[in-house]
Amino acid sequence: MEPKSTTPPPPPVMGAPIAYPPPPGAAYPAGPYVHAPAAALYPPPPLPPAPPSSQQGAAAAHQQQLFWAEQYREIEATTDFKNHNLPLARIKKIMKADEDVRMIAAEAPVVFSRACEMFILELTHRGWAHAEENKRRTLQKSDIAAAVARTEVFDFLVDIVPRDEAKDADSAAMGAAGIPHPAAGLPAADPMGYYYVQPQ
Amino acid sequence: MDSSFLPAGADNGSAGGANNGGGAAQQAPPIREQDRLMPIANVIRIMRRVLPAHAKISDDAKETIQECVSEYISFITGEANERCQREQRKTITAEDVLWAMSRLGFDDYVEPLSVYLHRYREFEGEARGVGLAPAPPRGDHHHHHHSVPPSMLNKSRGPGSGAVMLPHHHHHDMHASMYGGAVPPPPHHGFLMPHPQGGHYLPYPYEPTSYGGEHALASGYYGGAAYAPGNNGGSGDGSGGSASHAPPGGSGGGFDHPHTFAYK
Repeated sequence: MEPKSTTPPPPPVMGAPIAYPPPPGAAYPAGPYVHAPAAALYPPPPLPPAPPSSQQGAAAAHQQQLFWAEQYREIEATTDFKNHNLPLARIKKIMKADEDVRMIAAEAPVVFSRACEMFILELTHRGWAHAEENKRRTLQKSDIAAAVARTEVFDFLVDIVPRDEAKDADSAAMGAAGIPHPAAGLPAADPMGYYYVQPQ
Repeated sequence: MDSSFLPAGADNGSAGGANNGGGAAQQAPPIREQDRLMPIANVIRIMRRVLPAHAKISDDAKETIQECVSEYISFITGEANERCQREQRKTITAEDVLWAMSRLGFDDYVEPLSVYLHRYREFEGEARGVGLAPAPPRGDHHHHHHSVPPSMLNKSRGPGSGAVMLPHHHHHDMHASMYGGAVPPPPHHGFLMPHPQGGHYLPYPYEPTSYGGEHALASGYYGGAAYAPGNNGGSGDGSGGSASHAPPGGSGGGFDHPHTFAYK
């Protein structure tokens, strides 16, 4: 075991002021980091394309950035680590429903508890955007379906949300957005699928 | 077991957790319909946090979200478990869960969750109080946890669990040296392991860089503030527990400071 209690103090100079919290999914705006040996492996920031017809897509991407900044802020603000908004025992039971799962470390359900919160918030947030597009004030299953259809990372949910409903929902969304795209089922080939972008 | 009928409050409490843990440990009969989903009241409460006050939620939307959450847990767990089996380990760790999320496209989740896990471990360390603990830092956590749910005691003492600890500890050392003494959070231990295994883990390289950036941020603020906030993490002696907690004590102070800074 390497003793670390007397490690050299970190350098106090941090260059330009840094907006806090940093935008998730993007490289940090600050200067080079002495603690980042893997800096050369930064993935390119996933910026949505900016043709005029994707103004709504750009707005959606911005909404997502705000969403994740808020998530980050909430986690930084967490002080209660004893009470979780989702029961750990239930999470563990769902994990163990898979017969191949043998033992689960105590921290795994803790991480899942927070992850599921973020998942619920993201799915609800995206679903609500669809409800607003249709000028409704009630979040419906079709809104969730539309969010799933539009977001590649949620592809694993297509069996949970009926595909027909997703198509109808997206078709309605496209109609509302004034885009003549009859085949509303979104292909998963879009590499930027995670950020909502109008089909070209 | 009747634990599944405990009130939601009990489910959230440690006592309820212990009961349910016991049920799970004894390989209870097939999962009940009721246990297959997250409690709907909890789900609705979370949904409302992101909706405007005038928004209504239809019943079918509530149920759909419940189903989606369970599917999400199973989806991530399946990937995490595959990794465990590939590496001939028996226990799914928090790092495995984070790794699986990154691999399955939930990159945005990994960074905030890594911070959360790090802060949770600091909290656990503080709750345990000062005192030299067994060598493996993870062992400390298990020692603390098993006092609540007896079933977890058996699990955490399993040989598989023991096998997991050594590699993690080793990587912790390596990681610390990589960062030239600046102490990275434990979640990265798990992430370091698969990286050399090739392109499969391309999404991963971003994470240590990202966290290194955070650490640099914390270091910068710490250097400027000299523990002005005077929060828990900033207590003068740092954590006297396991070695892995002493540096996170300082790091925790750094993290708490940006939080305070953000509110100014």
